[in-house]
This record gives sequence, structure tokens and C-alpha cells, in this order.
Amino acid sequence: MNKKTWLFAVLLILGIALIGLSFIFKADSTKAVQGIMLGIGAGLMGMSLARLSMIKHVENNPDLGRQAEIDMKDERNVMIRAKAKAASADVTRWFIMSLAFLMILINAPLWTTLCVVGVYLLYHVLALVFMSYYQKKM
Amino acid sequence: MKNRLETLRKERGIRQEELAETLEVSRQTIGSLENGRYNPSILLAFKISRYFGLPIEEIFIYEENANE
Repeated sequence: MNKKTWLFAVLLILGIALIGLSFIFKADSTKAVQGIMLGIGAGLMGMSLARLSMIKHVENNPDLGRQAEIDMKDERNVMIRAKAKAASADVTRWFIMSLAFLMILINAPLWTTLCVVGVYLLYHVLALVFMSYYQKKM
Repeated sequence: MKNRLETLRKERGIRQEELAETLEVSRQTIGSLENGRYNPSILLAFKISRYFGLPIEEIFIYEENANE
């Protein structure tokens, strides 16, 4: 078994364990903990199963695996992915700002509005951090 | 930037898939290069140049006013 298979096998077991353990927290006071454990457990289980089946599929079809690797590293595809991520982040930024105004309009508690504005500011701070990082790196 | 990639490839009777496999890029990238929709990185340009045994400027044609 290679490193990736081990990693996803461990994550799968962790996901199943989290789902199993979540049933301990049935009480009303720990419902939130149960929900979080179920959510993370199901997410880990789904992702690990998908990745493990992908690894198995590639093992049985080495040509497919090589093509997938070429497609992943292909410079045009890398550029397309980076541009798509940047464009989706830009669009999401406007949605977050609109959400902040919506919060004000519906008289939502101040902390929720501040949280949304915080996320908006975080976007700009992260953009500056990454710009500085890439300016030094490139 | 214009290029002679399609002409050179066809002259040598190579399929896009074969060229893509040798250069370790996707077939779509070869198609985009040939259509002039995508300009290659300097690394890929060198790979292409070595593959055809020609200088880069004989494959890729730089035009001063292309972006105006």
C-alpha cells in the first residue's frame, strides 16, 4: 500500500469512528457536538471512499493514471484552474458584501453583520498576504 | 503570437495526441497552441523547439503590435 492509500484508509477509519462516537453525545445539551461529529465523519468517509476508489481505478488502468497526471500538471490547465479560482473568489467577494448589507436591512444581530464584514476584510488581507508572498517568490 | 506548430506537425505526419504525449501536455493544449488561443511558457516553447529541432523563432512568430 502506498502513502496515499494509507492516508485515505486512516481517514476512512477516522470518519467511521467519528460517526460511531457521535451517538454517545445524544443528550440535548450535546446535540451540537453530535452534529459536528456526524458532519465531519460523513465528510471524511465520503471523501476517503471516493479517493480510495479513484486510487484503485488508476492502479487497474495505469494509462488513465498517467493521462490524469499529465492533465493535472499541464501548464494550460494549471493556468485555467488558477484563473477560475481567482474569478470565483472575486464573485464570492461581492456576494459576501451583499450579504453584509442584507444583514443590516433585516436588522440581524450586530455580531452576525460584523462576522460577515470580517470575512470580507479577511479576503482582502489574505489577498495582500499572498501578493506579498508571490512578489518575494517570483 | 502566431506559430507554425500545426504546419510543422502535419509535415512530419504526427497526430496531436502523439505530440501531446511526447511534450507531456494535454491534447487540448496542443489544439489551443495551434489555434493561437494560448501562448506557451518559455519552458514549453523550448521543449517544442527541441522536439522539432528548430530555433524557437522559427516556430513562434513574435509580432510587435499583436496586443494593440
